[in-house]
Amino acid sequence: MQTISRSAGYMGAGIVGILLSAGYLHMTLDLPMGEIDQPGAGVFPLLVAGVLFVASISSLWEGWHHRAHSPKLDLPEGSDRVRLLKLIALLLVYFLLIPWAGFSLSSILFCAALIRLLSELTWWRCALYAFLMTAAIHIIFISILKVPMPSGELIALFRS
Amino acid sequence: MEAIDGLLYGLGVAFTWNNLLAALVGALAGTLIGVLPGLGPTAGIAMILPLSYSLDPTSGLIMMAGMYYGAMYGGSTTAVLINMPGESASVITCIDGYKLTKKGRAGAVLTIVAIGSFVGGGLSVLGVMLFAPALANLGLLFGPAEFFALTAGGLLLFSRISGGTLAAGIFPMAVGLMLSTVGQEMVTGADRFTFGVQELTLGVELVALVVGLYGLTEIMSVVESLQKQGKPISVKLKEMFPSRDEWRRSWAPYGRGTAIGFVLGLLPGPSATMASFASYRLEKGVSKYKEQLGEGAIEGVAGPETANNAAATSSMVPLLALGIPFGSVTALMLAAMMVHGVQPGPMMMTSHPDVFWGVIASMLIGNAMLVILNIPLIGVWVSLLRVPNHVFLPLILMVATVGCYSVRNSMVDVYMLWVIALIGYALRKLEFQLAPMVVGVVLGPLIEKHLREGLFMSLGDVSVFYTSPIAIAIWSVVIIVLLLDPLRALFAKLFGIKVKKLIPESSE
Repeated sequence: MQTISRSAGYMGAGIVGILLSAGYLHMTLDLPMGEIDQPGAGVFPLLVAGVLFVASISSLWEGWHHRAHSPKLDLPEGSDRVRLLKLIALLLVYFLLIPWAGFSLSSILFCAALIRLLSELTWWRCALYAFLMTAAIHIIFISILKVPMPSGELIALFRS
Repeated sequence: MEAIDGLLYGLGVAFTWNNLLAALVGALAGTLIGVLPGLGPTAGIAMILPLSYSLDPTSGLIMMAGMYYGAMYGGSTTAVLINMPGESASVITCIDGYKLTKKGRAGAVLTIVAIGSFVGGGLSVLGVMLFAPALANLGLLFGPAEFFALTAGGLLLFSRISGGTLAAGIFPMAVGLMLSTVGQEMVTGADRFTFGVQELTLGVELVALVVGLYGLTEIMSVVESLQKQGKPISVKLKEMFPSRDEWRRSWAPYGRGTAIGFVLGLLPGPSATMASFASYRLEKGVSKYKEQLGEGAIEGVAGPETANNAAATSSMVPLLALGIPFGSVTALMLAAMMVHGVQPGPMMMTSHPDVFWGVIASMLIGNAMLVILNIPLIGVWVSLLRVPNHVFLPLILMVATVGCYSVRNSMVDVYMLWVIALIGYALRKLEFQLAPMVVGVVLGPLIEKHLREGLFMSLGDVSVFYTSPIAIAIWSVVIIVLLLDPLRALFAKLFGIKVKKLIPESSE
């Protein structure tokens, strides 16, 4: 099993947090601060930048302090990692496809690919299941509840 | 309005067709969410948040409250039948619940759970009814400085006792506070940290944040460790009746579970989870059958399951009486109230009595609905456990996408869902707590509001935040809790006194 030490993760999170708080503080200083009795838009973010910095330092310190006897955290490996990465990629493609191909068509493609990833069904059955599931979601949310999901530029092109 | 009058008024509000339907839908949907792996109460409620915007505030909140305690019940069904808790508050139920299932007592255990949930939830409602108005009256003494102490101090306290180390709680909390500052600022209307993206002027969408952090990360974990699903045993209606001995042994754990759950629900932190663990420990200490606990004792199910429902119910007290959410679910409810223009807090009892008392009374009705419906419906829930992952995971992901998009009709929120899911997955792997981030996002604007009001009203005198007796009391509690661990280490080093850790390792 591939692992990562928790202290390394905490130190990594602490470093990211410090960089984030520095960038956030830099942008905060461009906001109006107002007066002490009439604080401006920048006062609260200034405090938040301080809190984020302190929290990041505490994460860094905890990681450093416990590095010798830090517990190991399991990371996915082999086929598990490939499956997870495929899910993340599928989700990204699905979300990017929605404005272009529309919600329903994108959903059918996404579901078919996801069912194939999670099962040993044939592509035909995956496509059939995907169609039925998308139809159910379409009827409930788009037809009955009138949620205005994107119909897609591709569909608009066909219609025109 | 007195408590009894208030409850009667609330029953009048709750006994309308709209609100009864909202309670029924909420309780059933909550049970479904609790039963299905990959979808906890927080993500489930986040997904129906946009739907609740189209209802009136009372019905929307009744539905959300119903989902919360429904999920508590549903989570225990999977714990008992297939040794897999539907949510964290049911983890402890697996120990004795599953052992009893293997002994052929699954149906009886599920009935004991359903009755326990009803007893815990119902008695807790009576506590809420008496306690919430008293707390709201105390809240009338609060000014901006006291509310600042309560929101900022409460957030710190919640982050610290959510579980794990100091950094595990306050790092996500700080990120949540940072995210809360994105968007148009309330007083001057200045845009902050929007990077010119029009959709971000309304801030980071809470639905995207919560569904990303809880829903998608959970689905990623399920997909990552995809195993053959456990097949639940069939439970017939005639097997649902506990024996006389099981009934007799359950009443005392019901009472103890209700008391411990009610008290823990009033405190910041993952109250339902903490209550179920505390109840199990209590049973191990005081039960007549303590030596059987861990081997399949009914007390190990009756106590914790009663406690988690009692805690889920009493966690509404700080929300309704003071407007302070002490958990991610109540934070979502606060967000829903604010969208409807209902400001929870001490004035809510007089300004929106229908919402205040209606929600409290509906909890009584919703818990009764759960027990009436869930015992005959157990076969349906069991059959849902047989639905394969490759069917319900795509469905959940599609519903999550629709829910996220529909709040503002914005694809930016959907893209944000993906980014937040990746961040949430990494934080979860590293054992950071996610709830403080959600509560930080919700409480951030309130903390800023009270800070600015306090400075404005005191003409810039900062001492106003730490000189009133109420503010001193709140900050003292916060400091004591924050210093618990360093003090424990100091005592161990100086005097060799070892004190048991009071803060749980993890709660999520």
